[in-house]
Amino acid sequence: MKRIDEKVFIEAYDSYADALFRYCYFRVYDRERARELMQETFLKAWEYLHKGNEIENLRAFLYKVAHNVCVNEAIRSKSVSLDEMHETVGYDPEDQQQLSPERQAEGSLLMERLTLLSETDRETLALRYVEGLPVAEIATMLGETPNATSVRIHRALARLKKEMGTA
Amino acid sequence: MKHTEQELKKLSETLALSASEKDTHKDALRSFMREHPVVAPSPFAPFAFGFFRYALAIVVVLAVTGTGVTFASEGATPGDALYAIKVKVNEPARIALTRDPEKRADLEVALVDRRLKEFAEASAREDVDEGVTDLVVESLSDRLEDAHGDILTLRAEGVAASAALDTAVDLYSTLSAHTEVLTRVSEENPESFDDIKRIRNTIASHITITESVRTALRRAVNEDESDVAVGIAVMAKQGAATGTLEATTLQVAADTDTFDDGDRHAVDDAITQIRNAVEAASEESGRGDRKNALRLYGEVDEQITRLRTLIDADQSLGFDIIERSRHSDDEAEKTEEIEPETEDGDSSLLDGLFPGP
Repeated sequence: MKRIDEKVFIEAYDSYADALFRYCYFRVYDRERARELMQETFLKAWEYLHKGNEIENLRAFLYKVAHNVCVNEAIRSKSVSLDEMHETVGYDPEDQQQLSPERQAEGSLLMERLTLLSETDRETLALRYVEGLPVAEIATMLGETPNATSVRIHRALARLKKEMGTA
Repeated sequence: MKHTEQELKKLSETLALSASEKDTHKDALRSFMREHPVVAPSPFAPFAFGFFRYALAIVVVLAVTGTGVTFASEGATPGDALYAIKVKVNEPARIALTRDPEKRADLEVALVDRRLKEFAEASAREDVDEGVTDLVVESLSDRLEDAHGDILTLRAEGVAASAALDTAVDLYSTLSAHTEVLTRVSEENPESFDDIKRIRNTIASHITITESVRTALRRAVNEDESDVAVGIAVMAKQGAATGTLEATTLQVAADTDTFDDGDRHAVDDAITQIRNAVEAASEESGRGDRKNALRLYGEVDEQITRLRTLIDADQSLGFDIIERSRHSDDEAEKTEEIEPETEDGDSSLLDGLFPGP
């Protein structure tokens, strides 16, 4: 097991901060809160190391911490305000100057349809297709068998396609 | 890769932190890491741990006795020596330092919730007297006046009516739910009746204004906001409601120490009702009546806040709240002292306060 020191942890931050930010975003649909939750994830993971614990798979551990942080957030969350939604992809074109109008519209529709899925479906699709994680790793995070996760992904995608009208 | 999968993949390109955001978080992380170093295991670890504990004890003493008084008061409860500092110094300072108007309004609502929760817990353990109640009444009145003021000025500061409405709904449902809790505490502890009555009267004198603000903001949403804007707010609410209900179900299922079968049935009933309300709102949205859907989601928010407040109280007060609330919904409606003067609140109180679009 590779010892995790400050250098290794910062490298992990550089590698995974964006992915964890997106993971949190798909749970809370609030950009600022997703940033805070991403930060909280790294702080909690480091605190775990600071207490003398060891981590075998840092990426998996970070996702697990992010999952718990998001569950706690759901317990104390408020509704996302209209102004905060303006900061999401496709809802504030000024932040997406390089995107064509067609891309902005597609992104908006996708984001809208994703909210119609359950949180678990959103999480699974985000891990598989947005982050490109292998099924086996997602299964480990969710505490399922790879087969169960594969079926879950397939069904979630089918539901999303139905909502998008592309089934 | 098919079309939908490709679209999902593209989100990884468009939904990302900016370089400056990443650097900001990295700096904060580095700072935290320096303050909490990871030490390599050493054969002398037991001795090092002993030294660390000694150093930590010195830091704690300095924090409590030196400039750390305000820090130490943060955990104070009614009756503690530092409680006055918490409610008269710490909290106003936090509010003053919160620049964003929405976050400030949300903070004030959260502080109202905290105040009422603290008072209920202190009453339940018979730890209140006239002095404590005076302090709580004063603090609660200040926070409620500040919350009303800030909610009313949100529109003037360019915040959407639906966002301001969220905060008003949150405040109203917080006050209603805590009134229920305090009624129950009063039944359990008759000696606290007079003190609790003062707090309930304070709530009653402000809940009418809250309801008026809510009514006026609902009207503003109907009149001023575009269908697209309302549609976006509706989508966000659906996601938030679903997530909160799932988390609440998990929480109650996992806590077998506090919740018995009667409590779980009561929570299940409440969640079923809320899910039905979410479905009704979703149907309205599907039919294209997004403004009505937003109104229904507001009612969902109220029910969720009530349920969460009752669950918290059940866990912290040591006597039954949830199961009793299931059987006494009719009694809550009969509590005349908190009935508003008009059915939907008198929104004329706010005429002229909201600028036009």
